[in-house]
Amino acid sequence: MSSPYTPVVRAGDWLIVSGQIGLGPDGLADGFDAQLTIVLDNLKHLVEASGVFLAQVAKTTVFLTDMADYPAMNERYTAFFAEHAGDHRPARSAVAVAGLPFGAVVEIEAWVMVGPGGVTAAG
Amino acid sequence: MVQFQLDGDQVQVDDEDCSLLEALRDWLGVTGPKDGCSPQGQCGCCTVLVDGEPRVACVTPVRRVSGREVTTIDGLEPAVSDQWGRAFCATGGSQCGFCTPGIVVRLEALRRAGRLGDRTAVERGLAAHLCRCTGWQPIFEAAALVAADGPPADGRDLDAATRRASIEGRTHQLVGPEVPLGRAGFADDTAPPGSLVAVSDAGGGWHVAETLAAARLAAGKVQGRRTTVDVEPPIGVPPGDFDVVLRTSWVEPAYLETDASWCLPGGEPATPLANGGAFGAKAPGRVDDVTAAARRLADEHGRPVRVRWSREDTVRRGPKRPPMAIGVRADGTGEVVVARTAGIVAAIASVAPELTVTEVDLPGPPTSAGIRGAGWIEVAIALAVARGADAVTSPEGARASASIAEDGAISVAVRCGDPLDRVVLRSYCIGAAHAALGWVTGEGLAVGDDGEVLDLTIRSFGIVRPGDMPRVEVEILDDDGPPVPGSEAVLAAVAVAVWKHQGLGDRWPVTQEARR
Repeated sequence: MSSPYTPVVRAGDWLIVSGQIGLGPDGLADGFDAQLTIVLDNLKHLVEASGVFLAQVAKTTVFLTDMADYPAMNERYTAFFAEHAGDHRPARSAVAVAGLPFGAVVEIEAWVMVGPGGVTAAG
Repeated sequence: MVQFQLDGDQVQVDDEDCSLLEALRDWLGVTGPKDGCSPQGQCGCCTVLVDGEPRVACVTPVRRVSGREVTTIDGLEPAVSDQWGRAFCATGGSQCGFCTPGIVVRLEALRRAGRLGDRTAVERGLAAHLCRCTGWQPIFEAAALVAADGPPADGRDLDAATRRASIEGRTHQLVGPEVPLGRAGFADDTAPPGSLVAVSDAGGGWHVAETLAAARLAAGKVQGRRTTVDVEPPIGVPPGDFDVVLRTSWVEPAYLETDASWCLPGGEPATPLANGGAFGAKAPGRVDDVTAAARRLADEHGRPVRVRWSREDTVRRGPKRPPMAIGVRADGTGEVVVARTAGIVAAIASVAPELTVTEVDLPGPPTSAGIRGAGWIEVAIALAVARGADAVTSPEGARASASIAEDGAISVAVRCGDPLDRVVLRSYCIGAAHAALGWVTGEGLAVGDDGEVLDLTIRSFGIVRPGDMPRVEVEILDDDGPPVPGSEAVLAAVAVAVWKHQGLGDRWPVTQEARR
């Protein structure tokens, strides 16, 4: 038990996926694009390996070290949900931060509602 | 009404609430994209291009493609699809041919973007798909062939290849360039237009309607996983002094083509075994059989009826290899406790006649001794480890050995009579190595104490992903004896090697980590 956190935690009807950064088998990927690719792949894997669907993601939080990456992040992020979850768009906060672990430039966490009520856009 | 371009033609669909996959398959008669898990959106078999970008059709509302251009496997230029079909055939990148229509579309998008030669891009693309047959490597090789503008024409004997595939799959399986393109004649594709559709509810009752969507609505919604039960070997090893102890867990065969059939009133039902046997899980004549339902419902309604299991049905009701607990000694004696399963005692005795076998009634999904060497493989693995052997011999005389290099690469040698076709045999062996790696390290199906299956989504079974699959080298040893199945012996031999490599912990899967 060397990791200081748990990647996925179940809390009642919530499944909480810890913030993912662009760490691949060869360490932190090079640059924003490559890191975001791994972040989204990891999120998908952790959600689906837990037996739930991307369409059950209720809320994400996106951390960027440079708000200049915001448009590029939006483009990739929306394409990701469009490809794998139709027109599902979770609620989201996106913030710029002074720093992320290991020098990462983007981190995304997700809260997944797995209860019987499901997840729908309310407006 | 939704209008869009489909494979070059303008089409319209009246139902604005259905998914793109339902629009394609049920309203527009396009059967190239396959339905392996809808509406889970996790297997990739239904992948199509929307304005050139890959989209999972079963989770894409059809209204989202209004005015856009949709390209399916059936809409690729003939020269392009021909090249893909020949490439997959040349490398053994397709066995049953159910997952490859989506994979080819995905790879074609990469080719158009000039990224097909980029291994990382291909690996990432394939991560959105599941293949249970080939172990991924032959698919990477097919992508590389097309990236290099191949494949060259070869003078291969596809009849011999079909014979080898049918021996390995233990039911008829065609080999040819049309198979990877999704044209193997699956029952869900060949039902007459206008057939009623029948789907099952959680209790096993059938709901019949004009469309899949309506039938599903009547059958009720299936939820994702809502509990935190871990995968646990359900059976304990009896007390005794053993050299090797192994407890296996419930695992899901996870064949991609879920059970389907159709029948005309008074007719013979279509086989769910159009191009492969789902690793023995779709053995004809089993109790819970879609063909019986198709026949009965067609007669009852006086119309052709297409019957299909969803992914959840397949997981809940399809047969699994029986979990067991094994304690053996190097002299071949020991004890096995196994979930009660017709034929399992004989299967174990075929390689280990001195073991004492006890069957127990275990709450859980149905089990079958017909699944990929169930019974003999488990005890052969335990005995090989107890004796320090790295080779396994099947009851039919196939012999395989395996080893793992420091970098994780798996080397396999197999002798199983006349190879007939080395491409197909190699593909089956790599697929078996993939299955063995998953089985030992991370695959499992969570089952509650009451026997209810709790993992119902196809990404929750711990199947090894393309990026996590090590290189597999297969040596096929010459033999002019009669051909026998070789990949089951490979499954056993690779499991021995992987288990040793992982430290011989007494339970499979050895870790929950791979699932998290």
